[in-house]
Amino acid sequence: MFLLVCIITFILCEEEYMKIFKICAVIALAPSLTLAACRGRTESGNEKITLRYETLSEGRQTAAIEEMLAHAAEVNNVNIEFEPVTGSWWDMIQKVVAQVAAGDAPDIIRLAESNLTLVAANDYVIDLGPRIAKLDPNEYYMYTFRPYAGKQIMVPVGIYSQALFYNRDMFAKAGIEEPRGYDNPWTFNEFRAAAKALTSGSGASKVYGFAIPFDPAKWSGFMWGNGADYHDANGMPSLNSPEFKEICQFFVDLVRADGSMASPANAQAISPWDLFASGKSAMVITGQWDIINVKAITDFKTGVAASPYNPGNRDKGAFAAEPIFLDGYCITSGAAYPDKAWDVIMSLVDDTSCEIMVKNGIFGWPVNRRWAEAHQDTLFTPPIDADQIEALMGLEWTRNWPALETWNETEMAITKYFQLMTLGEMSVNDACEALQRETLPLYQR
Amino acid sequence: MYSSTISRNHRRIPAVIKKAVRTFFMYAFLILFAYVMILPFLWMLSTSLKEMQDIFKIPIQWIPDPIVWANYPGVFKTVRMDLGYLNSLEIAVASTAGTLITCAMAGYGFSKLRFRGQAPLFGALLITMMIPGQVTLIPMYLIFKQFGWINTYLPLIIPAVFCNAFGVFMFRQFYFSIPDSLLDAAKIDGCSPPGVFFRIIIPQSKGIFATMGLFSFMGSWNAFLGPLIYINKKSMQTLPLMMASFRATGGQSSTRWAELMAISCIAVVPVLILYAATQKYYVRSIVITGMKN
Amino acid sequence: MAHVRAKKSKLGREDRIWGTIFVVPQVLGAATFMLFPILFSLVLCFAEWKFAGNPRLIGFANFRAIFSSPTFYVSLRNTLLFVVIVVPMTVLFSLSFAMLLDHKIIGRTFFRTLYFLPNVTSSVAASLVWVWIFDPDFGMLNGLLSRFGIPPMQWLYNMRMVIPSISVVIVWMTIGNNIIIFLAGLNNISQTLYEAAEIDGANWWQRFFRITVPMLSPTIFFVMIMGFIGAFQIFNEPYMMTNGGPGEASYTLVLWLYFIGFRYFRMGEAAVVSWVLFLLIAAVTFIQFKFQNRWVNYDV
Repeated sequence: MFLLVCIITFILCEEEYMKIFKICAVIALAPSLTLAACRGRTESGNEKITLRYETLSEGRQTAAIEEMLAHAAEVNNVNIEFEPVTGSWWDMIQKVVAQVAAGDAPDIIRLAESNLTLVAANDYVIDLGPRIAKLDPNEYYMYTFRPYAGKQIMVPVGIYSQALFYNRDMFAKAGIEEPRGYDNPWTFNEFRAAAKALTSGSGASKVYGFAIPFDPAKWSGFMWGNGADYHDANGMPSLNSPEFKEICQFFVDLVRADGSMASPANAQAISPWDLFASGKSAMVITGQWDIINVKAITDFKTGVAASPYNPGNRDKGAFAAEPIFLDGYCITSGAAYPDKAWDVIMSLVDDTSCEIMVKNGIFGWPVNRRWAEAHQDTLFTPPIDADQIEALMGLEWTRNWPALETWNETEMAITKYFQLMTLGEMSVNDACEALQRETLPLYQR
Repeated sequence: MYSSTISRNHRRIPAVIKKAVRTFFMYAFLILFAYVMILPFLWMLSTSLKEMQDIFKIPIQWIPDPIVWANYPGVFKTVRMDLGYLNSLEIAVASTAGTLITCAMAGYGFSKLRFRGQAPLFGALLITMMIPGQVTLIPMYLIFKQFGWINTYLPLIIPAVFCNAFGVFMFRQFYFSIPDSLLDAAKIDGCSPPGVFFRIIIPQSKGIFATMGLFSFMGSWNAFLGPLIYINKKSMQTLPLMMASFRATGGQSSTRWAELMAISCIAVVPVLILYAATQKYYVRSIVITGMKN
Repeated sequence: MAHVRAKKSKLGREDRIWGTIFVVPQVLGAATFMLFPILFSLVLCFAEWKFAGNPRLIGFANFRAIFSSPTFYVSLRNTLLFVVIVVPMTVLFSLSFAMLLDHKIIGRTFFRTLYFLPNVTSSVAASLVWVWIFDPDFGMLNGLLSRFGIPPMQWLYNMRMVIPSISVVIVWMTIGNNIIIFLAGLNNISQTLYEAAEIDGANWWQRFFRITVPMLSPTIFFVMIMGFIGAFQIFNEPYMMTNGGPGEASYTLVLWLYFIGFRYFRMGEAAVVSWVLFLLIAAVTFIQFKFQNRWVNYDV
């Protein structure tokens, strides 16, 4: 349409205007072309290879990342151009796809799981499987080198696991026994009773028993705790299984019947973490990324424990489970020196890099198993005010998560129907059946 | 004669009361809404001076207790605010200056001059605003890649200057309110269109220049997605990019509200200064636009 | 007579040449930066494209996928609802505030600054505070209502209230700019016109409809056109405040196409949505331009 308009204009214009147009076009384009020519020229004569590394970088991570990169550059005798991205992973993926489309992607990208499946499925990054197979299994937590859309494309930076954080003062005041560690975790019933007992007040003085982010990945611990899962063994959605309906009903009861859990509406206004930190929620599920914040709380004593589970469903695989979250280094398909990039990545997970990570308190639990186990006691220094610090070390208390290309859409659908359930717009049974019906076609494509 | 005096007297007394009532309601209305207008801004200010655990206390502590100034130095420790300020200023000033020139010109062309293809060209400009940016994002990136503009400020400045339908439209609409009689007089006197533009239009359009300048500056100053996509180097980051580094990453971190609000407060200053500077152009004076008859 | 015509035609020629020159920077810029993206998105409507490689033409499959999705109709309905609520409210509120602030009242600069503050408040802070105001338990709105004995209710987390609630926030965010535009427009109206009307005994309403509205009509027209274009493309507020929830109750077309394009990597379908939206906006804008002669006064 635009083209048509322009063409029509040009036809309509008398010749003298054409001349003016041409002159103006030249005037407008000349500087830009000159600039382009100048920028296009690269420096030559530099022997070192230059690699570009793009990552999401939170404010307090930047210095540590730069330190790690300086170390990797020195070890491998390369130049590394640091390209930090700020914002959320969703902001970053927009940049990544634009770069991929323009053939302008950096050599190494750090990506989070929510982006990884699509990136893997569409071959933006290379398969690191053969290289990973050669690694020493004692050196790393090998189970974290997950396949995404069937390919191992990532070396994890660090491992984040979740745990149940609680306000010890509130437990003492209510006279309730505190939650326990993984050796003898709380049952769902104990948890529900405690949450209800810890709930008090209404309106502005409301205190919730419990808060959790309404993000399907983040409550997958509870789901596994009931022996349910998003996918069955064949990788097809199992969102209408009895166990899945049960766990949905459990949350709906907490929100609607007991009023002991912050509803998605409250969680939108004040994030579960902020509810907990300001004393408006006695318990919260969050991950190691908040440890630095836990340490900053001075108003009350904090504890950490295992998530609850349903012992009745133990035969269906229920256990006190925590989801783990990963982000990691990928090598893009367009990288000119994939071997060099691999070496750099290996330096970013070596002992020196682990030390830098832990010193700065970023990136969770190091993937470098040998180093992490040797330094287990000092990983979260100074230790937080908790008896069961080992709850944060429950890395083995997790289940594998089949990362499929369809995950983003499935996650969106689960969130949607979960909101409808907690609102009472749909019964749990109807919502789960509708969810299954809606997601199944995605997997059958 | 007699009756009209009576009725005027009759009207005058209630008129005073009426006026008082009207003034009262006017202020009540203004103050009520001012409260709503200012609330988030106040929250931003007070949060920037709070400890983490006080931020979400209810009722809201409008005056923090204790007042924590440390959030401000904390911001400077985390990001290079000075660089961000300069970078943002560079982009905002360049694009504002350019925008004012090109949009004023085009606005004049589309409103006061007649030429062939005027309507379709203007329509084409409007069309550029109707396609959601999400779809044009990647093709735009391809263009800038072709130009070699990635990792420069040009993708943030040049399209704002040369492809700004909003500005053209606004100038066009405002120039319609300048009486044709004024221009015609000048034309008869032998003034060419550029002469009219510089001698009559520009002196008449201080208010619109102030408005567009403010909008254009704010637009560049607050832009997030553009810099995010086109800027790679840390030293070239703009303020909104730095602000974003205090936000939750949508997964593995929590928003650091106090520092985020501190950096937001610092970032607001130039816009407020600019606003104050443009204020005088909105205060009604006896304007010459009424020279119609 | 002939002399006058010659003079006129010379003026017309000058107009033509200079008119073209004056608009050329913008037109050329638009052609350089927007022509390719718009055509590209048109091609994408008929193609599958995962960002890497070339788009693969697949005929009308994208159209079928979009038009058979119930979410499309929900988003369309929501978008129209937003437009219907937001545009009149924005024009009404910003015009009335601008007129109040145009008066020579005490503390005018102070009030003007206050009403400008939403523009400079960080959008993250603003949306957080607004979500907080709407919170069913801690929210200020329910707190206020409870003083009048009105029971607390859900605002954002409510299938029926979420769009009106977000609309309030959008109006709040946009009126600051529009007040400024209107103030600049009011500033251009000659005070003598009002004085003359006052002498003729015109009351406030007469002055408003006979002087203010006609003189301001080009500005009102501008604010309305931009309001429609903006309201059809509402994205940021639902994205930050509800992420489209609860359910799909605050999905807008742009929010949905963003999800499709950048979260599910189906750019072709996103392009279809964007073209549907584009045609809608273009139609509404065209109609407004067609009818502007009825009320917009360009004859000063």
